[in-house]
Amino acid sequence: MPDLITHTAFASFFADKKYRFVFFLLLGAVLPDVTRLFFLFFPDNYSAYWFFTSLHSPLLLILFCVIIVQFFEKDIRWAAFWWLLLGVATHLGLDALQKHLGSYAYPWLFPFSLKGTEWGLFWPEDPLYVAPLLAGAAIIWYYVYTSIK
Amino acid sequence: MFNDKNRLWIILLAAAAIIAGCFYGALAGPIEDPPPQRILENKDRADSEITVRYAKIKSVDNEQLTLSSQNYEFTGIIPETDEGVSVGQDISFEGIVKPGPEVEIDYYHVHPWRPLKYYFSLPAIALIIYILFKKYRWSWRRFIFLEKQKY
Repeated sequence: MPDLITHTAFASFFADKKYRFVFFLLLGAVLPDVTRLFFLFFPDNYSAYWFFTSLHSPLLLILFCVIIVQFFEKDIRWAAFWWLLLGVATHLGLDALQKHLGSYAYPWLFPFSLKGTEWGLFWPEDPLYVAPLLAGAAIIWYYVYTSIK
Repeated sequence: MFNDKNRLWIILLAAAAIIAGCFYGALAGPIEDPPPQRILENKDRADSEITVRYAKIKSVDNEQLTLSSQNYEFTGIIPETDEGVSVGQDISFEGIVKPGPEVEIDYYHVHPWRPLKYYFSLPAIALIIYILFKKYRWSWRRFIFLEKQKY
């Protein structure tokens, strides 16, 4: 996982003009890794690692999004669902560019396969170098984008 | 799928499917991708390849590293040390299993900023919680978030 500042800043460029659904977009962008934060409570338990890694798969994330939108008004549930999915897609898209050793970093096809593939462009910690710049660009983009009539 | 009538059932069914998937992952994952301890203590796996992600470096003695992964300590022999290899860092590597238990490391990468990544993530979570309560208010009566601003 790149850090969540990188994920949220990157996702924010896809927000709607009024930033009405930006909450869902950003939540979707961090959702796969928020589920992984639970793993911090079981740092040396290999089964727990796999328990929470499964939550990093598209299928379980879609189900997670279905649950989340149930806690919002009926009128915006469909829109919220699609914005959540867009956020998740930006997250998985960034993750797919990373490099890990082995073939078990992200199980894209879970539960049919536990293996995943990556493009191997950068190591997971490398985005830390650009995260402040990306966050700055996202803030500037917010002011420019929302001020255009 | 998103009407109020079936809301409870949707939540329960989706949650059940997620939990079932997680348990399947917890059972099948360690079988398909065994932890280092299971590979290194298996005599049949001698001279076979091993890949370990995020082992902790406990000590460095020239080209010999004491590594820890899932509370299991073993030795790693790296081809040459550089300044990136130091105690407390996380390391991922590919190598060959040797008796000992020992791993002859062919290729490795040190993850110097890994813990920082988690601290760097906290402001993003704080921002999302802030946006949630700025844009929505919780209704205990309906048990949902309501938009504050009408569009």
